[in-house]
Order: sequence, then structure tokens, then C-alpha cells
Amino acid sequence: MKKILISLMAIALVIGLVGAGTAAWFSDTETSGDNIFTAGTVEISLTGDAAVGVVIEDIAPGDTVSAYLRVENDGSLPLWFAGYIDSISVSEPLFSTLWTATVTTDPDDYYGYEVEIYSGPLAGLLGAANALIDDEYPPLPPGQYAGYTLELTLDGPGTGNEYQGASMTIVIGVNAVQSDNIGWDAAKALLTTP
Amino acid sequence: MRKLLFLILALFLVIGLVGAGTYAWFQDTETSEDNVFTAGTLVLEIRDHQVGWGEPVIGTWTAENMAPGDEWEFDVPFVKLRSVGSLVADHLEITADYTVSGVPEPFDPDSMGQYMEVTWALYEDGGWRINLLDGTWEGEPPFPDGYQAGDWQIQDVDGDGRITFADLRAQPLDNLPPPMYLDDTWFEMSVRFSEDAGNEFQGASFNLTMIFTLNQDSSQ
Repeated sequence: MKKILISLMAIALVIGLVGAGTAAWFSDTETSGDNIFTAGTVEISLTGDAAVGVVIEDIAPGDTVSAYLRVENDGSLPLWFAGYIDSISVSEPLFSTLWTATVTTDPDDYYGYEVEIYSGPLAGLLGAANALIDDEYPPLPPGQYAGYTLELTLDGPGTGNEYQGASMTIVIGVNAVQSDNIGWDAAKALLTTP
Repeated sequence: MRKLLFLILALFLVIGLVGAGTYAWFQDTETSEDNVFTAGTLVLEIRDHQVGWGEPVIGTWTAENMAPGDEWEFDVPFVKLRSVGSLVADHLEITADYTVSGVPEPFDPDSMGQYMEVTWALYEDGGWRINLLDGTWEGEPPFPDGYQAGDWQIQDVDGDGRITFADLRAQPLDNLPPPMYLDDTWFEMSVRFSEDAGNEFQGASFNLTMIFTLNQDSSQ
């Protein structure tokens, strides 16, 4: 009986050693930590009276009103952007068709020149597909801004009495996209997509 | 009667002498002492282009203001490895772990890890070079016993067509030749922030830890 017990203990001892060996080989680990990759940001803000909601009343046929819009790059990456009329709502049918628009750049902004970049029916700016964008232009760097003056003229001869007291509300949209890596064609496609 | 008593006493005396003789033979004992069994050591040391051996290695690869599509080739940064223990290691493992900050919680780190691409990665010694993106090699690297095809290649585990740190974390590189003591085994890589990364990563910080483990046995 004692021999059997001793044999069993020996077998258990061997099993124990095998089990310990499987789970406990030596190893050593070293790490290279705090390898930090920080993403930049694409962020714009709109300022100026056109951004905060300008209210112009008592407009007579033939009058021209204006509003100023500034697009600021508040992110950390250079970007391209494009503006458009996001929506137009009117109190009287067809009232919006009586307006023409011109858009002129601000000579004091990052780009530094004054030029009329649009002149035509207000409806010609409606929708991202009609965003004011043409050929590739220098990206707007972080911390810089671009300014625009929007002038709206109510048609004189074409505006009849039925539009007395009519109102129109427009919403301006601006899309922005990173300029690094993307390429102009892909960027333009994004800028002109709602 | 008296004769009988003497006979019994004599018999006990003989028995007593015999018994005393059984326990009193001459003997001597010597010992072999100080038979010391000391475990060996398996010690991995690393350094990078900024610090020496044994110092904490941090910030080897960093990038700021990443835009989707940006790539950092990291021509200079590297991590060198050497084995300084008394035991010969069997193989090396390389994996990654990471956290993400600067984004609203909850945020799954893997959702950014799968856009942090490894565009180039080498593990090399003076006599061989292993391309960790395709598992091929130049020269004559030693093959650990447990080596299997694919062990030296970062696999596209999630099948998204990109080789990323999420893939490396999910399936570490295994059974790589262990570094020797010599100062000529190192790891290098290039990183790209995938052009497919979306707006949810704006301003996010990806804190990567590269993990190198030296193993004694092929079963590890």
C-alpha cells in the first residue's frame, strides 16, 4: 500500500512540474509608449451681419441692400470652402424671383483683393451645387478669414403692388473641407454636395 | 536451580551484547554542500534615437495636426532591441496597444486604430531584414522552432484592406528571431492617418504603445 501511495505521489509531482513548466517560461517585455498622433481639425465660423441674421425692412422696388459675411478658419488645418444659398422662403409666391444678387470679395481679407465673383439672379446661388466655386484657389490657412459682401437688389419695374409687405428669408450655407492630401477635384465634389 | 538462573543470565547477556553490537558499528558522514541552482535571466532592453539603453522609451513616433491622408515616413526614429540576460531567447513578439483622447466618451479606441495605418515596417539585424507588411525577408534570418508562415506579417485581421495598428493589436507578430546582445537589431515603421478617416476623429489623440516581448520557449 505504501508503495502505491509513493507511486501516486511521484506521478502527481511529475504532473505538477509539467503544468508549472507550461505556464511559466521566462519572458521579458519592453514598451515604447506615448507615441502620440494627434489629428487636426477642420472648423469654420461665420461672422458678420449676414451670419447673425440681418433684418432689412421697408425695402422699395429698385432698392439694393447689402450684408457682410466673414468665413474664418477656426481649425488647425488649411481648408477650402464654398458658400451658397441654402434655402429661400418667401411670404408671396415668386417673390424670390424678383431679386438679383452680387457677391464681392473683401480686399482686407486673407486673399487681399476686391473682385465681383457673382452677379445674377438670387436663385442662381441656391443649393450647394451652385456654390460659389471656380478653379482651384489657395487654401485658407488656420487663423485667417475671407470676407464677402452680398448685395441684393429688388427689381423695380417688375415688382408690382401685390408684393407690398412681402418678406423673404434666406439661409446662407458654407461648406469646408481639408485641403491637404485630398486634391482639388475631390474637394470640389465635397464642397458642392449638400 | 542456581545453575538455571546463571544460564538465563548468561543468555540475556549474550542477547544484550548482540543487540548493542547492532546499534554501535563505526560510521562516518560527509556532506556535499552549497549545491546552488540559480535561475537564468531573460532580459530585453530597448532604446530609441532619443535615449540610451535601459532608459524609458517614450515618444519615439509622434505627429501633430494630422489630416486624413497624411503620412509620416519616420526616417530617423527607430527602436533598437538587445537581449542582455543569461539565457538564449527563443523568439520575439511585437504588438501594439493604444488609447484615444480628445473625443467625446464613450469612444472605442479600435474605431480610430483601424484608420491608423502601418505603411512600412521593418525588423532587421546586421545580417537580415524582415518586411513586416508582407512577411518577406532578405538575408538569412534564423527561424525559431515555432515559426509558421504568416507569423512575420501584420495580417489584415478585420479585412478592411488596410494594415493598421488595430490589426497588429488583434494579432501580434510572433516567432520573430530574437535580438542578440549586439547593438544591431532594430524596428522601424511609417504611419499614415487613413484618408478614409471621418469627422469623428477631428482633434483626437491616438496614444500608441509598441510592445516587444522576448520569450524563452517556442510554446509561448
